[in-house]
Amino acid sequence: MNKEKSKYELKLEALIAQSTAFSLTEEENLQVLKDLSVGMDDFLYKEKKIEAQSEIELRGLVLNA
Amino acid sequence: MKNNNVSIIDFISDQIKNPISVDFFNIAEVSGHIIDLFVKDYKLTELVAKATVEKHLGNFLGEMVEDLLVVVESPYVDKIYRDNYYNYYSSKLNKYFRDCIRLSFFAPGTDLENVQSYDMEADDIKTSFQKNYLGFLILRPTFPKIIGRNSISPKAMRDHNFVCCLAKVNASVFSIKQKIASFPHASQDTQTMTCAETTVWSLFEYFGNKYPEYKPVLLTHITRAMHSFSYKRLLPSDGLTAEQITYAIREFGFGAMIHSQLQREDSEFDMYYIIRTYVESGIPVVGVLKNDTLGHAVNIIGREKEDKDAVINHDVYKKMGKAEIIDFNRIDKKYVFIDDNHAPYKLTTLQKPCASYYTEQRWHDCEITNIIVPLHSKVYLDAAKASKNFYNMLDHDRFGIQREEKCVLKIFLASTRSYKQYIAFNRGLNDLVKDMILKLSMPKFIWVAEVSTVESFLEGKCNDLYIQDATEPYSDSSIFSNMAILAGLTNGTFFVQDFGNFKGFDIFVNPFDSYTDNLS
Repeated sequence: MNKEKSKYELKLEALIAQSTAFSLTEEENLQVLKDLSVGMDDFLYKEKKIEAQSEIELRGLVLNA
Repeated sequence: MKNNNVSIIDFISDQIKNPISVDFFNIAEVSGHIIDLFVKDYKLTELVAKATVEKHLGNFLGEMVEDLLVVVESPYVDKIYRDNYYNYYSSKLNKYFRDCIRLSFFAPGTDLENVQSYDMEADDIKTSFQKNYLGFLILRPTFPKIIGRNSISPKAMRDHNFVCCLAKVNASVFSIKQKIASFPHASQDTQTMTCAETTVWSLFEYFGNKYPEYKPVLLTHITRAMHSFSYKRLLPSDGLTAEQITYAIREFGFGAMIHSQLQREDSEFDMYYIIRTYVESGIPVVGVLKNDTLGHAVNIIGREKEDKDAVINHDVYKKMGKAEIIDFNRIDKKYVFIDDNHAPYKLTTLQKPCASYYTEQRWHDCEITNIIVPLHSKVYLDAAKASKNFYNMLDHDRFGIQREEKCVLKIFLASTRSYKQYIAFNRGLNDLVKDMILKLSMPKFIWVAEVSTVESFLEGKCNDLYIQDATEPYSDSSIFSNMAILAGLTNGTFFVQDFGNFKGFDIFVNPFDSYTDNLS
């Protein structure tokens, strides 16, 4: 049985009609991912070093004031 | 025998051993009553009682709104002090009392007389009470450090121009149950609790009252957790090391992260940026304060209310995409500190926090050298990496910011439940975009970047948003890490990413209300 569409569904359908859908090609997808990881290797290396040093720095620091 | 001319208190005392006295006062008069109780019930000399109350309680009450009404209940059994009493004080030669006094605060004009006589409908009493109730303060008999556990609404403080993390803490007054939105606080007694223990206790009292997956802890729970990590005795307390605090936080179910001012000095995301980002996410942060002679711990739980004009006139951080970005988390603001040496909610700077509210000079050069962040165990992606990833996204040719104007960027962590509720109730947001976000599978926590034009920011709205998966730690350049961005809306383009595939649609979108649920 076909259920009658709710007001909300009709509203969404109207909005879908106003929109323009897109989908990237495989090459485009790969390019976006590459773009997003520019400079990340260096950044992650530095972050790991900072995290390790921060932990060492904290050792033995007494808090009682 | 007729009870002619017998006072209520005498009559009750004759019938009941050690009855609970309940009286109410204006806040200006309450100290006198407390001095009387200390002399009568706790056997202090009047001189000592007066000096103790004036110095410790007087300073505390002096920071609260004038004309509050205060209900005083004595004796009161406090769970935290009783735990300390049986674990420590009862084993000493000197007589330490086991009962406390509870002060409950109400807004000026509350009809306490009618409530006390229960001469109203039960629902009316509860509603009136809840509306006017501003929290409680326990006075414990650890003289002179008498300020015990307290949960006080920011509205009860003179200076409350701030937003912060608040949890609803249970209490009762006149035997009527109440809840108070507050951040738990206590002062140290220096024997069982120093700043380190009170900071850990306060943190878990907050999380335990706010989220069902955590529970509040007592001092004995903290010391028990420390036993496997400490070679020396823990009572009397000489404080904890910062490492031990981190260990306790992890033991109680969090994923603790440590950040250092020194180590982050040259990083794109310095320690202050990290503090601001987590506070904006509604996550209290443990601040380690230090100078040459002192080591201290505090909780940093909120910030001053934003001055929108100051934000839009702030220096641009850098250009991302086509927009000049003002990063909200890079703007200096005053932050809210829970410091056990002072009343709660101290508003001060991150750079020299103690200089504005400590009178003793030796504190003034204390700096936050480290922070410990109690993250939910399922938040794998930390603030620095999430922010870096957003920066890369905002700068992207296709999915980055396309607006050629000044924009304000706000990055924060949110629970998916709260964020989806905000999206569901967001009237300004395009219904198709709303429906897409609500139907998108997300982890328990997400990182969000909101971008607002200056005009939208002034109206409390944003134009663009990006959502990032907080369960991708981005610890290496794996394909999964690159795919942490789940969805975005930028300049009328809505996109989602499904395992490296970007899809979406272009549609007209009006500015919509910004997310404000992390801080109250």
